[in-house]
Amino acid sequence: MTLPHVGVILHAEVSSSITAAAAAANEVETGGLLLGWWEAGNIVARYAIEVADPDATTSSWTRDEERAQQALEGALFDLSHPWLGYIGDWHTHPARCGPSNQDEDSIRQASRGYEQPLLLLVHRADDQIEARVAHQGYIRTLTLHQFLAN
Amino acid sequence: MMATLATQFREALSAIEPGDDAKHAQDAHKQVSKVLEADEKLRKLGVAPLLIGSYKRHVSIRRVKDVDVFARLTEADSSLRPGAILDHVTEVLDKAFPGCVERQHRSVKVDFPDYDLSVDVVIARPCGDHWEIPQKIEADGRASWVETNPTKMTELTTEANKQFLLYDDDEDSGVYVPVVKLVRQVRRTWVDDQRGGYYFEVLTYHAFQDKQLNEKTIAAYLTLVLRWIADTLPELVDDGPADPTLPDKTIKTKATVDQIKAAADRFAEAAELAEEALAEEDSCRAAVMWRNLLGVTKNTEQSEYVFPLPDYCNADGTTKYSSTLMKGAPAVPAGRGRYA
Repeated sequence: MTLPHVGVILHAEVSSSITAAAAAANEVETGGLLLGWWEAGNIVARYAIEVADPDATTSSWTRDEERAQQALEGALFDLSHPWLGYIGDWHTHPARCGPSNQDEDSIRQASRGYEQPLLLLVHRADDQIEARVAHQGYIRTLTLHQFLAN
Repeated sequence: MMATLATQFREALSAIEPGDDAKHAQDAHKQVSKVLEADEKLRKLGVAPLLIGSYKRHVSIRRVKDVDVFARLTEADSSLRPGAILDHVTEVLDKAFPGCVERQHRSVKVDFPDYDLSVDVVIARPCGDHWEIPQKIEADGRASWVETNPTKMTELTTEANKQFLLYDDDEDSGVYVPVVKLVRQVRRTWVDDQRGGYYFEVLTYHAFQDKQLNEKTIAAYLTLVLRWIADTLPELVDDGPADPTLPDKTIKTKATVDQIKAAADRFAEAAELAEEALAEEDSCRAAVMWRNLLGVTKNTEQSEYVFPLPDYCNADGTTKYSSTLMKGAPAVPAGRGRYA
């Protein structure tokens, strides 16, 4: 089966928020939700919000449904943007490595619950951000477009 | 429901932040202070330079074109002739910054062409609990002096920003300083006269104190302050607003009566636009009005709108429509997702 290619449009604010959170978290992983929308075959990531994981370690961060849903609803209220909603996850790696097999498994698993593809961003120790897209349980190829400003 | 556009106001405030100017201002101030402190004659007069002005009070906006240094001469007495001292300061600074120093009527200006900003050095002598600066210097170097207390305004600014909070449970949500910046931007956009930022800063201070404002959004604070200024300015044409730093004194401006009247008219128009924007229920229509109110960045290489339109708005205030757009999901995945 040939899976369609997915475009990812990343707003500058997403990268800067994730980079700032990575710096603040120091040696422990942190992560959160990506907020945005889907348009014409693209995933548009507009904001990244942090969701605390009190059990995060130097090698793991876990999205907890209750805390994440609360954070999502709070952000949607504050941002008051009619197109925004959950479109994926992000987390940081204190090491210089991109998405692990476990990361890909988790976003694939999560994507089974949505009609549209989900995006995973992983911030590496060298400030590079790597992306994965999963759609209904499968990893898809992607093209990343970065927006410098609003 | 009114469109408060909190995210766009945060971005607007970020667009008028001084940015690199802040670093440059700090460096220029340090360089000038170091030269003044190294001079023997000024050392004998107890020179103690102090950064003052809008930059020091964190209410300056892009671009910062001048920085004020208050050269306190702590050992000076009433015999001090400001003309001679200003000549000396000019000479000392000219040696350190050749070709960049200009003696002005009451101060000495040092240009920093690489930073595209200047430092204004004002000398001051002690006067009881505060200071005096020369008001008018005669040809023989004598002068009349005027009391001033620039550090007091810094203290009042800090206090006001602690007193007026956007969120009662967040002591870092001070709203006074952001609103001063927005009022300064409105003034730059709506009033032709480019001097007088401090005058409107003081008016903003009085608006907060007089009305004891307690709102939930930046949009509401800005609107009420603009209305207060528009209503009050015509009454201040002759005397100016009370000086919050010195009892029984008022803030003087070089603006003429006609210029102040014209500014009052423009602020009335701006206040009306803000009120209309605040009452507007459609976010896109409201955003265009706020964009018109705050105008574009001034003195920057490229003028940019200060107030960004939300992603979902067209420039004419209509809402974008796309048949291929699907909003993000309202719920996160069930259960736990572990990343490692």
